[in-house]
Amino acid sequence: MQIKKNNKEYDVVIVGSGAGGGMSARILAENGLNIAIVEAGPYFDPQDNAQKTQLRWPYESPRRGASTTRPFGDYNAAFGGWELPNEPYSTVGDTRFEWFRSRMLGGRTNHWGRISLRFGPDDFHRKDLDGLGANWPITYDEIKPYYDRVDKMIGVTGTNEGLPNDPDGFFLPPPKPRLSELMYTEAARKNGVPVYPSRMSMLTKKLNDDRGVCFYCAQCSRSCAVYADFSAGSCLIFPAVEKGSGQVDILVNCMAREVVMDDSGRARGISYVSKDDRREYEVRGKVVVLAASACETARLLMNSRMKGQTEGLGNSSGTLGRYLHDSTGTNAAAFIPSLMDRKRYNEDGMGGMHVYSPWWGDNKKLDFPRGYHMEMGGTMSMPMYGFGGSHKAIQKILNYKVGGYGNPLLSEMKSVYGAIFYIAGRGESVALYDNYCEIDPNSVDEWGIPTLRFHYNWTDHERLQAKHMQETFRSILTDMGGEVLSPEYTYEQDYGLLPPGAIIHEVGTARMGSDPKDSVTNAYGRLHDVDNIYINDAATFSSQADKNPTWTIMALAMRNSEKIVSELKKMNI
Amino acid sequence: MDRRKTLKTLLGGAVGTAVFTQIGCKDVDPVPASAGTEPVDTKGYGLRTAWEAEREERILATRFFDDFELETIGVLADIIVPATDEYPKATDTGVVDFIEFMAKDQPDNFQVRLRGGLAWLNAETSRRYVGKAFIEATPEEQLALVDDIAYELPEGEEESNPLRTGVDFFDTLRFLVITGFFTSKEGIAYLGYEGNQPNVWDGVPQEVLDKHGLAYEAELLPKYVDQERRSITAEWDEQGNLIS
Repeated sequence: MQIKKNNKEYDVVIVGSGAGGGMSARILAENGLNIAIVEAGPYFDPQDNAQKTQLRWPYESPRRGASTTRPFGDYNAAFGGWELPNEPYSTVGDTRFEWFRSRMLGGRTNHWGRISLRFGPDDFHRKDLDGLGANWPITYDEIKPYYDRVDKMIGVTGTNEGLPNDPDGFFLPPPKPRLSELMYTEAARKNGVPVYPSRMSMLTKKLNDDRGVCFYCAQCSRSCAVYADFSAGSCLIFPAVEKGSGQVDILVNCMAREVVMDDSGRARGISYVSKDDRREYEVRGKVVVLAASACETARLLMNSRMKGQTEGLGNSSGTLGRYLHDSTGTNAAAFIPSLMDRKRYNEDGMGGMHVYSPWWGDNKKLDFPRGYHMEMGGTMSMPMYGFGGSHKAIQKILNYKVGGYGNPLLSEMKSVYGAIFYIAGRGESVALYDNYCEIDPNSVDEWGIPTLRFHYNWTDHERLQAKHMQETFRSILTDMGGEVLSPEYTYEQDYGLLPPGAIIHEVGTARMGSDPKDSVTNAYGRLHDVDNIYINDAATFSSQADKNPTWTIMALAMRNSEKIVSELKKMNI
Repeated sequence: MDRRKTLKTLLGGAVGTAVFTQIGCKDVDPVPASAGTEPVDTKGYGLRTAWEAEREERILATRFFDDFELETIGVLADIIVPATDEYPKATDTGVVDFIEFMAKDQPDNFQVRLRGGLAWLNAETSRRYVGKAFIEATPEEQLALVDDIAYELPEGEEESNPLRTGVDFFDTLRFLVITGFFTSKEGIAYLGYEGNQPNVWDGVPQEVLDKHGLAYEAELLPKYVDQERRSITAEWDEQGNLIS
């Protein structure tokens, strides 16, 4: 097939438009560079009425918002999910890895929970502390200035608490907790678990002239039409286009196939297939930035060829695809009888929790090496498909006759509305060489691109952490006066651990390190093997923390992008 | 689309708005500070990807239940949600269309279960009431049968009780009717959900806090968002203290 070349040479070609690609675009454009962004999905702007799902009612959807085609329901602003039509992946042995992909401008930032936690000083050198995994080649102090700038650029709620491993920042004022969150706070503290205002990237206060202020509809997962939440499109890509002094061309519906190399061992650009005409194209750049998500970036490198390397581009260390790890996660829910017959008022609030619990334990005294944070909630929320599904379990708790119909059943359901509370743990897993992705030699997607297969198993590090989570949840829920609805899990059931990939925090497939023999990039995300390829997504994480990765993705992308600017100025690349 | 223009339109609404004077009151123009300039248009239900749209078109072009089945579903739905002073009966809230849609949207979950259950119900009605279909039985006869299948079977009888098929069927149908009703405009009104509209959250009403014996911590109160100052651009000192 003839490859169509766009003869223009950009300064930088970026693959992906999520947190990493978006931040790269903004920084590079602000510095006057001309860039092209290759995005596999369509253009998306939550402000466009034709695309917007915010403030729609369940009855506007024929399935009342059910999750038939989108795992988080009809109104969720993620075009994609754990399964994409005609874009398969596979698993090996008893691996249960699930891979969430969102093909659209802004990627997965359009629907994420916006829980925005900096990593702490300890998180950059865990190996020093417990001998497991790897240290990062950078310290908290080196990345702190970038976190500070991300706070001010994007906006995040919170309070400065002086915690040792959950650093202070430049926070917007948090909203007051909801009723059930006050009950949680009391019960958690009784259990020795600290509770603080949550750190979420919503604008509770005006940040700049480009974005609106939160109006408390709780629908951040639908992506905010007034840009009061962080989505990479509205907060990074659009400002890059509007305000950057460089040219920004966004190539949507373009699925990157490989990094094209020249004979001298440098990247020349990206080849991609246009989903609109199914033809092959190439876009050229002096520098290539990969920010397609940890696994997609690894896949792209594995599918690229360079003289002398047969195991994937940039893989002289043999660690490309290795050390894949996701956050751990497990949940529990309870029915809280004292929340029956609640007075009605608009309790929507921000999308997600108004308080949270960072990790409080000392792993030296526990039987698992890494910590977790807790998320929680329970409100009089908008009824959607599934409403009433747990009512039989509640009837059992209340010693009602189980089942029924008619007015008595309906008034029962009205009476228990808003009386369920859940707690979820999100923890750090230990990165392992044996948990990895690689190219499946027997499969391609509909674009003819070889697909990934995954090898991933939890270990007792994660299982025992989940056991601790479940015990903590149950104790707090019980102290809230709750009757726990969730089952008690056994060791064989991994204590309720969700499969890896389920939390959508996968990181580590091209980790950074100072030794080119056991890492893929240097401390600036640049491939050890190639001078002009940078990775600006979570693939470079040496370890995930007990935090969500997005704030760190953006801080690193900012730092790496400024390095690219200075290297280009110095004519080093 | 002209992005620049779109963004400018948005800014017209985002900037230059008076600070709130009445916080949390429903009759205050709710969110001039953020809601944009256009009225909220809630026609349709937001962007579908190409394959979602094609799939939906296919679904809407086909029919699963026949008229007799749909009528039976309607009679059962109105038994599950009968009209009262507070809400209309289920068939007036769009529940039957919703169930027909779900049968095609999630066929593995619903098709055989519902169709087989309806057939079981008619066979059982016919056996009890000499050849009648369920919809031909008197309201008293219908309720007598529903009473037999509307409750969970005693422990140990889940697989042996001759009514188990009916109990399973009614459970599935009840889920769809209830979830359909409470996601309808009328069901939401009955439930009393007050959100899905621009709001200024300023905490739990005092009387609710009092009822539950809870209070906001005095030391945290100054740290929470001051809704009267929400339109003032955030500024910090070098230590990260908010100063605006």
